[in-house]
Order: sequence, then C-alpha cells, then structure tokens
Amino acid sequence: MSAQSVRTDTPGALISRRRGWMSRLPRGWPLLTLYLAIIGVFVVAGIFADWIAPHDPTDQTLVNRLQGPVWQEDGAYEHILGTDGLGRDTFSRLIKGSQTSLLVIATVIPGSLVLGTAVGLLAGWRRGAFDSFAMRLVEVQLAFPALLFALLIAAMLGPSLRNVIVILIVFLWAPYARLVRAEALSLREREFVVAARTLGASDLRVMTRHLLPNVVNSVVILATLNVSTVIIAEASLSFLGAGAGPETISWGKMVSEGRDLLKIRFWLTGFPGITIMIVALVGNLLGDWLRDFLDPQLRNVQ
Amino acid sequence: MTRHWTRLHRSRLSRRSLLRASARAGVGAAGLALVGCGGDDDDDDQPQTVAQAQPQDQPQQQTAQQPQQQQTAQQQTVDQQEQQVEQQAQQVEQQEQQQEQEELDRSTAQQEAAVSEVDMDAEIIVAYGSFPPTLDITTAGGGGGQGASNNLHFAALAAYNSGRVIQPTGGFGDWEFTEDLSSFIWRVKEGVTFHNGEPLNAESVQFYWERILGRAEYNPDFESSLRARAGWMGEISIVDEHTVSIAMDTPFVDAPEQSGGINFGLLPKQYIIDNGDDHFANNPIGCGAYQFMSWIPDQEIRSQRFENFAFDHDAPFQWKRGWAKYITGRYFPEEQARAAALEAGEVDIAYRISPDVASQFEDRDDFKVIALPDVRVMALELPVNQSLDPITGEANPWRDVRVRQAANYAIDAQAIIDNLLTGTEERAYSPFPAGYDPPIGNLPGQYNYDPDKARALLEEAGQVGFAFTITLPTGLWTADRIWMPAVQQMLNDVGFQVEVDYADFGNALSLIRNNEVPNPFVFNQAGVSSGAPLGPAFAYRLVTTVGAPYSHAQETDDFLPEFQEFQTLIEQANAEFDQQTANDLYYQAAVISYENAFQVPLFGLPHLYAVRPEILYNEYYDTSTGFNPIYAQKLKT
Amino acid sequence: MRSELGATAVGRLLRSIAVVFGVISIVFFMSRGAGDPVSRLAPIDATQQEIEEAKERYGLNDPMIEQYGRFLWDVVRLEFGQSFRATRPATDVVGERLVATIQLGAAGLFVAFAIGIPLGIVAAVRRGGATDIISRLLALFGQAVPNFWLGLMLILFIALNVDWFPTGSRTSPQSIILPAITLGSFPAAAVMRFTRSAMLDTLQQDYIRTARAKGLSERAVLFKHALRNSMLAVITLLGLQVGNILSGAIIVETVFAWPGLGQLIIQSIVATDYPVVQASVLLTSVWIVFVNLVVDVSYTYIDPRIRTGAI
Repeated sequence: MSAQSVRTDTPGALISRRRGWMSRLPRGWPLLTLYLAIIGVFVVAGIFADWIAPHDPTDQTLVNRLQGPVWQEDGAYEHILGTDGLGRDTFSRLIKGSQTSLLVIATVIPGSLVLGTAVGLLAGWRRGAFDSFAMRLVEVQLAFPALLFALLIAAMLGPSLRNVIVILIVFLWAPYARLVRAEALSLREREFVVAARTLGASDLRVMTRHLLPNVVNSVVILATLNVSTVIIAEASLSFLGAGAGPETISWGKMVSEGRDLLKIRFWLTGFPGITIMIVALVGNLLGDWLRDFLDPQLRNVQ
Repeated sequence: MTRHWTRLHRSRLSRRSLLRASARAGVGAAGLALVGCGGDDDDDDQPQTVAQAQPQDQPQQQTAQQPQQQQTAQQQTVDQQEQQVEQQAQQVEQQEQQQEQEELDRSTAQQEAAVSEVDMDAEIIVAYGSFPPTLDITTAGGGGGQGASNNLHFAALAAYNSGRVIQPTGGFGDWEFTEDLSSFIWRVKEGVTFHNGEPLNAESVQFYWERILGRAEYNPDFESSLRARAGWMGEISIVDEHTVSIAMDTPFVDAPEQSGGINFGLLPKQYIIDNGDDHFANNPIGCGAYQFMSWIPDQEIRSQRFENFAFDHDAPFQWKRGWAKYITGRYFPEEQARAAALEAGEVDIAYRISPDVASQFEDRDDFKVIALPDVRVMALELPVNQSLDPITGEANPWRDVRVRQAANYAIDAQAIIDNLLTGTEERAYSPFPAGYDPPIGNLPGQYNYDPDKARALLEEAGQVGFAFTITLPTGLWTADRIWMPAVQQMLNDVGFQVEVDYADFGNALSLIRNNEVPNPFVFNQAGVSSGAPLGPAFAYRLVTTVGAPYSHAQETDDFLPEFQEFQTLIEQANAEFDQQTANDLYYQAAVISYENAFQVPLFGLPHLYAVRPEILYNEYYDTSTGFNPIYAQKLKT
Repeated sequence: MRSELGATAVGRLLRSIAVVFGVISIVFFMSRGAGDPVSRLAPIDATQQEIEEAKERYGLNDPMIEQYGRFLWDVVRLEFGQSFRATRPATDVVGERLVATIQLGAAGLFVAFAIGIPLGIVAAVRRGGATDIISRLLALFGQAVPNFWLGLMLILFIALNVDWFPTGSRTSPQSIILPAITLGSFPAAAVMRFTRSAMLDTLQQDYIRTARAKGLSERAVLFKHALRNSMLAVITLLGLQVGNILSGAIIVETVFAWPGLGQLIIQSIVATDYPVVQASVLLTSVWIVFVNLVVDVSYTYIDPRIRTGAI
C-alpha cells in the first residue's frame, strides 16, 4: 500500500531546510498545542488523581445524593459536577476515572503494538509454518468477538481491570499482526527488498532495516486509532459489567450507573460520556496530525 | 379499602425520620430504643384485611403493648427532651395522617367512580425485565419471568387470601387432610373448563402431578424442576370424578402448598397427550384468567381474557377474572430500556424498577408509581457456629455475641430506607416481614442504630478492626449496589473493616449452597415462591438453620448453646400441623435468634412499578411474582 | 490458474475449520470454568439431592475430558443438546435470535459502508475541501463516541421526543433504525478513514501519475485504477468489521432491548447455559471465519502479486 521506497530523508531533515524558529514549528502547531494540552490535562489528571480530586471519589454522603451540577438549581460549588446515586462527587470520580483509562492505554497500546508488529513481520517475511500458525492464531482471535471473550472471562474470574488489560492486549495484537504481515507480503516482492536479500542481508537486518521502517507509518496510524479503541473498549466492558471491578472507578461504569436516571439526571451519563468522547477524539486528531507529519509524500502534496 | 399501597408514603416517612434524626443528634444515643418502637397512634381506619398493606403501623402497634417488659434500664433514662421531640414528631405525624386520610378518601372515591369507566376492550402492555424461557409452568422453573406467562395462563388448585395464607376452600379445589394424616384430599371445583374447552376433573389433576413425577405414561421421561417438591406424594388415586387422594408416607404439613400452590398450575391432560410436551411449552393451555395467543421468545407474549373463566372480578381470593381484553408482555432486560419505553408511551407498565427510577415517575401527572410489599427481608447472615474463623484459622470473632450485636447497632437501616430507597421499605427486626398473624415479624426494636454502643461493644469484645468480607449476590434484589455500600460504610464507621464481594447472583448462590462462602453474606430470608399455610416457616427453611440450603450452619459445626435451642424450636415448628402452635414456636425461635443476633436483619424491599395514569391497580396478593396484570384496570380516556 | 485458486480455497477452508475448532474448544473450557449451571437453574429452595440428580442428568459429573469428547462429537453432528434454561434444543434457541442479529448486523454494516465509502472517496479526491473537512469531522466523532453512549443519547433525544422512533424492542419496522445507526457509526468512521487514506495512498502512486500523464480521464483514473487498488485495504477492514459488528451488537442490543444473539449470549453466560453459549459462539465464529475466508480469497484476486506467490 503505502509505497515509501523513495523515502530516504527523515522528518528532521525536512524541517531543517526551513528558516527561522517559527518555521521550525511543525505545520498546524496551534491545533497541535491544543491537542497536547488536552492530552496533558488527561495524563496529569490520571497520574495525580489522588492529589487533584477535591473529594475522595469513593466518599459517600447520602444526604447529598443526586445533586445537579453547579449551574443547575440544586447544584452547589462543593460538588461542581454534582453527585451520583450514593452522593459521591462526580468531578472527583471523573478525575479518578482518567487514571483507569490512562493505565489501560499505557499498557495495552505498547503491549499489543510490539507483539503484533513482531509477529506480523516475522510471519510476512519468513512465511512457512510460523506464518501459518500465527495467522491461524490471528484468525481464531478475529473470529472470536473480543467482547464475548471478555464476558466469559468476567463470568469466570469476576470483573477486574487486570483481566481487561490482558484481554485487550490479546485481542489488539491481531490487527497489527495482520496489517504488518500484509504489508510485509507486499514489500517482500519489491525491488529494494529483493535486492537486499540477493546481497545477502540477514533476515533480522531485512526485517529491521527494510521492512520495519516501511510499515512504521501504518502501525503508528493503527496505534493512534487504537487509543480511542482502547478507551472505548474498556468503557464498553465496564458498561456491561465485565470491565473494571467494583473497586475501580471507570468512565464506562459511570455511564452505566447513571443510565437508569437518564431522563432526570442526564449529567450522570453526560459527563463521563462526553469525557470519553473528548479523549478519544483528541487521540484520533493527534493520530491524524501525526500521520500527516510522518508521511512527507502526503505532506508535500498540500 | 385495599388501595392503601397504591400510594407511596415517602413524604410522611421522611419528615418523621428527619424529626427523629434531629432528636438523635440532640440527645445522643441513650434513648434510641424508644425511637424505633415509640407508640404510634391509630392510623387504622382502614380495615386490616391485608396485613402487609400497613407497613408502618403494625410494628408500632405491636411494640406499644410491650414497652414495659422490653424497656431496659437504659431506655428508662431517656431524656425528657427526647420525649418531647418524639411527641412533636407524633403530632406532626397525626396531622399528616389526617391529611393523608382525606386524600386517600378522595382518591378512593375517584377510583370507585372510575370503575364504571374501565375499558374492558383495552390492551395493557407490560414491560418485563425477565421473560420465561418456556411457557409450560412445570418447566419454567427457576428461569424467571413467571409474571409474564404463568400468572396469566395458569391457575392452581389452592386459593390464597391476600395475606398469603392458603385457604382450604374457595379456589379451584378444596383440601383436607384425612383424620389419620395418611392421605391428603383435593376436591376439584366442578364445571371448570380449560381454554380449549377440556373439562377440569380429577383425572386432569392426577395427570399433572404424575407428569411432574415422571409417572405419566405418555412420557415418563418428562423432567420438571417441580419434581422435588412433589416428592412427598405417594400413590395418587381418583376417588370420584372430582376428588383425588394423595397418599403420604409421613404426614406432610405443606401438602396443600406442595400440590396445589402457585407453582402447580393445572394442565389439560388430553391436550398434552395429543400434542406433546414441546408443543405445549410453546402453546400453553391452562385454566387461568387469560388465554395464550402468541409469543416470540424473549420478545413478546400476547394473551387474551378468558371469557369462560371460573371466577368473577369480585372473587374473594387471588383467582379473579381479568379486566383488560388483551395483555401483552414485552421483554426489556435493562431497566433503562423499560423506563424509556414507559416514558415514550410504548408500554403501560414498567415492571419492577429501582427506587431511583421510580423517583423519576413519582410526583408527575402523566405517571404514577405503585409500591407492592414483598414478603422478604434482607439480612446479613453471620457464621456463628464455626469455632475457628475459617479464613484466619483463629478464634471466630462472630461467636462473641457482642460482636454480632455491634454489627446490628452499627447499621442505620432507617436512614438507608429514607435516603437511598423509596422510604416505603420496612426496617426489619427479624427474618420475617411485619404483618404475619400473629405478628411474628415485630420483635421489639432493641438494635436500632447506635454507633456509639456498637463501638463500645466491639471494644469490649476486643475486636476493633475485625476485618471480614461480605458476599452480596447481585442482580436480583432491588438496588443492591445502592444500599450495600452504605451498609459497608456504616460498619466501617464503628470499627469493622469490611470488604464487599459483589458476586454474580447465580455464582454466589451456588457457592453459598456448597458452603463455600465462610464469610457473612446477604440473603433475603423468605424469598421463596410459595407461602405455605405457615408462611414464616420458609424463612428458616432457606437460611440460618442446620441443613437449610443457604445456611452457614452444618451438622458438624460446634453449635452455640443458644443456637441449639433455636434449632430445636424450628424443627418442632416445621413438623407442627396446628398453625397457631407452629407460629408460636417460630416466634420463640425468632426471639432467640434476635436476642443472640444470629443475623443482622436490614429491611424488606418492596417491588416498584411505574405505570401510566390510566392504569388502576387495586388488588394485591402476596406471592413472589408481585404485580399481576390480571388485576390491572385500564380506564377509558 | 483457476484450479490453483480452487486448491488454495480448499486449503483455506481446511484451515478455517481448524480455526473454528480452536474457538469452540476455548469456549468449551471457558464456559465450564464459568460456574455450575444446575445450582442456578434449580428452584431456590431445591434440595441438594435434587441438584445432584440434575447434574447427573446433564452429565456434569463425568470427567472433563469425557464431556469434551462428547461435546466434539455433538458439534460434528451440529447437535448442541437442550438449552438448560429453555429446555429446547439450543440450536432452535440460537436460530430464533440469529435472524434478529443478522438484521441488525446487516443494517449496521450497511450504514457503515453506505456512509463510509462514498465519504472516504470524496474526501480523498477533494482533499482539503469542505466535504473533506466535514466528513473527517464526522468520522472523528463517529470513532470517538462510544456506541452505548450514542445509543442512550439517541433514545433520550430522539426516541423520547419523536413518537415514530421506538425506544427499543423489535416491534415495528422502524425499530431497527436507531440501533442500526448506533451500531454503524463506529465502523462507518473507520471505513471512511480507511477508504480515504487508502485512496490518498493510491493516488500518490507512480502508476496513477502515469495514467494521468497518459491522458486518461480523471474518472477512469479514479475508478479503474485508484479505487480498485484502494479496495484492498477496505476489504481487509470489512473482514475485521464483521467481527466487530457482533461485539457492537452485544452492546447495542443491550441498550435497545433488541432480542438478538448478543442479548442471548449475555443471558446465557449469566445463566451458564452452556449449550446455548456453545451453539451461538460456534455460529458466530463460523460466520466470522467465513467472511475472513472470503476476504482472503478476494485479497488474492485483487492483488495478483500474492496470487503468483507460493501460497
């Protein structure tokens, strides 16, 4: 697909041809700053949740239950975004929930990316038995709806965040493997790879020097797409009760807990839903930007 | 006259509890016992035909007669101030009750006027949260969703009064034990036909028991979850065209319930033999108030009023002619979907909703909420008979009565009821719901919320920081994830260290059954689908007693002497044919259980239903299925 | 050439069967680990003896390996036994629900591809234009909104206000619209993004330049060259989406009370109704494997380089 056979220069080299510090900034930097700021807020909120949250997110005050957000009649500054059915502070729970999402993203994305790319490269390059085996494995996983698997696991072991992470890695490596393999298959027929091979380059060298750089873009695009996938998958599992355990605060679970009161307490589902959306959206926007930036061919067209 | 429960008592209860809460805060803990059992006034203009219908009044009435015996020295030190506040509370209450009575009279008058406008051609659409897996009442078993099919299509032999007591006469059958207790006789009502015109007679009755037992010739392999319940039946013989006799090896107290009770729906013999079991499971024929029209599994069941039904609208017990011409049940497993369907006007009734969802339909002109009492009481079951804590291997702290009492004092069940639930729930003092006759559920309220005392007891016992896990089977009981965290926090506030294991209902049940839950767990104590002549008996058949399926107590355990005493009384009561004597024995057992705090009773949870305003619901029969659309009327609009 | 393709297809078919075998084996052992079905199904006051009898009846006391062997033999005969819950053949129970899910899944996929592909093409061709920006924004939102939340919002803002749209259930023809939109939104965005980037990639290729240089009409360049080559990526995506659609359906069916397979699977897992879980998983995995097989084969057809390779 993406034929980068002509790519010899790095993004850095491109930038250095320009003059002045302003022009050194990547294209579209104001938006990029905004994205990074939002992601920064998300990451900071996640890491420092326990210090930032105005209330203990698990603290119940039954008298204050189901308070509206501050701009509504029954709202109060003490609970800016109101409280849930047990009188817990929604704002603090959102902050604490970002920790859960962050944790899941920070483990699942690198885990599945590395695993999937390695398997895909090896399978696409070596072919043969390993390829067959790996692809059957991929097919088993693709043929097995992840959610179903997660539900079975949750029914067996009880819901827990650790299970969610393992399940998501187990399921998300397959698309990388498939994608990378497909590209590797395409690439291994190309002249520059054939040439390298005839010149006696080792398998490892071909894979890391010739194949890997050429699949990086696709992989990065998939990984950035996966940020939203992972956030949404975790939220969906938690929504169905098969995700984070009872002790964990998760945005998906907040939506689920609030949905029975959808009509009269919209914000209970509204806030976590919108938060999920914003983080997923920014993840995707960042991915888009990254794509444009990483792919000079496309960039030059503009 | 029996319309009491169609209104929520929320406002009144919460104002009373607010006043009382302020009394507590001002006066401290000393006088708390009085708060719970403080003499109430008479709110009893309503005839007490339905015991459960007066949730607030009964306990107080009962305890009003007892304060002198019950008051401990501590209680006598109650401050003057507190009594004043309490009186004040009562005055407010009286006023409220007067107003309420007026309102009630008005609404009663309105409702009676409206009866003439009941739309007899109406279709009532009910949104159910569970649906039966099959429509054959004998196999639907534990599959849930009985309300959507069984109640409509089938009728059983027995008649219940509205207090859930099985009646010897007046139903589809009349029963009696023979003098020597060697057999049990049912006489079937004459002139009754099934929906397909087949007559109900001794043969059909004999057939349906034999089918359950796998003795019916047409298909001896037939399997029914009811088989175990019918296991007591010896030979079933036809005496005459309308009389059947069941031989009993040993006299069986529960024979009426376990042969003609609500789960034992009468079936047409010839129809089943001709068409087979599979056909029957998809095209049921019974003699209930509604006849089956069509179903799409897990989607919709349609039924039509049975015009040849054996009883009329005013039958004095639960079998009554239906009002609406059609009843359609639809399946909405998620509560949010049920609520939305009602909100959008797609259904008339949202079946079994949580208190929070109910609150969004309350106080609105276009909807109303119906609260029906349940016969079950939620309670925390404590492992008292194991000498060693099975988890730590050390001495079991629960064997110390002070620890158990501390747990009882620690929980402010009333605050949970007022703030988290609907306010109509009853604070429970024993495993029995209030209102049985004699009012066995109304033991004096000595364990009312008293955190200081709980702390003191725990300290005295040297168990501050006692860490344990509570297993909560989730998914069946109303608002379980709402009230449990509050219970947990209240226990932690007095010095326990509690974790809650929110276990899937089915899993938890099988673990408890297999005695794999050594820690305290929550169970509802009378949660059985049958009333039996001795309603309360079932509480102890399920939990607490030795050998009960969901009990901590094992034969091999090291019983506390008090527990042994309790167990003996229960065993005597279970075998007692005289209802009065049996109830007395249960009561004595309950007193022992209570004084020794074998459990932490919490509250009874009502079932809540949100309906459109043109739906009237004036009947209540105390069965596990709660709301029965047969009794629902839809007014002409 | 043709027979070679046929042999390949048979080989793939065999491997697909192996995949299905793997899936159902996993499901067998996982569902056995999920708990004891009899205790759940028995009436709450059933005796221990009664439970033991039921276990014996369902063969649950036999060694696991024996149960597994019996299970495999049953699968070969497409015989999954009686549903524990419904006391009817599990295949019947699954069959009833399958129709509803296929309807919903097809409608969802239709929404996804009917919106995704045209938008993706237009966005790529008119790169930087208003259509591009709008469709990219739509795609961004489509991929960022969790479908359970979108479903709830559609119920709240549309179904509760417009009588014509039911809030859920499957009672009238228009019942499917909101669930299908909910289900299709996420894949639609993915399809659009993929189509767009595949098209852009292709349009950069030298042979497209060559084609343009040859003076072919823009239309011919687009449809004959660019589109065909971009479809390789899009078809890969289709294979992936078919699996995703079922995951999505489980959630959407929950929110909209749609009586499909997803709902049934959740119910059956909760009730540990093994026969139904096994039958439905087998069925869905066969479906997904089949689609992937078709994708694989068409892959070979579209990209001749793979066909000539020794597969």
